[in-house]
Amino acid sequence: MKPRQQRMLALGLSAIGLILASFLTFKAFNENMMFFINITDAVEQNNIPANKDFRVGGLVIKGSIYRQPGDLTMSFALTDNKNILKVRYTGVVPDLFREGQGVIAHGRLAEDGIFVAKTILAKHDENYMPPEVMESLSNHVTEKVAFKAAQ
Amino acid sequence: MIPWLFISGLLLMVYGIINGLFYAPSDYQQGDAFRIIYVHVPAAYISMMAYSLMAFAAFIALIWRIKIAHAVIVSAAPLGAWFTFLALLTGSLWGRPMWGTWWEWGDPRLTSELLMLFLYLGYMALRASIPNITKADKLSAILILIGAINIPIIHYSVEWWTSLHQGSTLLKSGGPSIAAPMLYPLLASIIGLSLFFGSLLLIRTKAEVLKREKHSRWIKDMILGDEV
Amino acid sequence: MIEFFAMDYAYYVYISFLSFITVVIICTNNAFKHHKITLDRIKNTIHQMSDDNET
Repeated sequence: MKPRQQRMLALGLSAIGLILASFLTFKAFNENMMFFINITDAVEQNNIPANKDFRVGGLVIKGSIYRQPGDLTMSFALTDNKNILKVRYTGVVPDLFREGQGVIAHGRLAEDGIFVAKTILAKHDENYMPPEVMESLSNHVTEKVAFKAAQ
Repeated sequence: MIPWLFISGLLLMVYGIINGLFYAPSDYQQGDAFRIIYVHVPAAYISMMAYSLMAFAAFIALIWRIKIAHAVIVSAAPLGAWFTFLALLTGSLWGRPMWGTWWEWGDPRLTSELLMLFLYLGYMALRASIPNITKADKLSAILILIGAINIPIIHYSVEWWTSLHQGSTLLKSGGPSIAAPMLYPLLASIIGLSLFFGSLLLIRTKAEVLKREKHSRWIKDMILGDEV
Repeated sequence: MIEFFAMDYAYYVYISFLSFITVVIICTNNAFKHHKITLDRIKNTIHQMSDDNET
């Protein structure tokens, strides 16, 4: 074998070893790499750290936001379109916190099953468009839904 | 070649930034804050491209012992580090008004990009600590290759794990999900910065090769030839 | 075209753009400076070597 081929083999083998090792590490730490858990796991209490804060992410259900008058306390419900989780929070929310928007709540479950959040972060999606386009698009969607309902 | 790349890159960047900043429509959800995309995405793209290029050069340098490949790695590192820093900074400036946080530890996209900044800095520190240039070349190239595992992690972090960061807009199946008047300035600034990066990389590599070959005959002829 | 100061989140947007321009300038400056210093150094060594030969 030529020296160059030897180097190639050595490098190739170590690369494979490295990829394998990191793959196994990720597999082991997969749970920890999750920035937030979804609503269903939170509601069914799968893999929830005991007595520790965790993050849960879902969509804010339309019409579920309730703000207590004269206070920064609010409550709303998050969903992953399968389950619903009620959240209570006191504080300022980001501007993108809106109905139908994806948000991440950091806190823990209270005994009454309500998630008490200490921080709220808003997620945004990877779609970018001018407001006019969005309007015509949603009109289109409404028409479609109406069309389906009519059938 | 270098002036051509430099000027065309600069013009495209200026076009992209002016259009992105003033002429592109605002976003339906994020308003004008989305305009940070015109600097954040090119910077993040270059930060990853520079590293991929370095890893590719390291592979060639280690196997075929091609000296110029080491000069390319050395020259790309500071540029890559600057643009990684810029991607983190602009991302933070975007995250504060939109997500509600400057920085979140534990987010896979944010953390892996920060790791890449440390890889760049670690590479430069490792080189600086080894006086023997051949040895420094070899060890630092190995470091770059090991760190290359981070590149797919950065890219797929938003798909493999849950993240605060949204998915890819441009490289998604079914085409980019961004309206055309917003897309063109973005493409212009990405391509512009790439050309610009290429021109700076060539200038640096040229200087690096000159430095490494300073005792050879052709360099002497070339430089003395310039003066006559 | 939108108004310069009427932009939402203007500070965040302008600081990002300014930092982008700053990094581009720093990188350009460094590259050219690095190139010039290297060239000057090599010239000096060559002149020194030829001076040494003459004496």
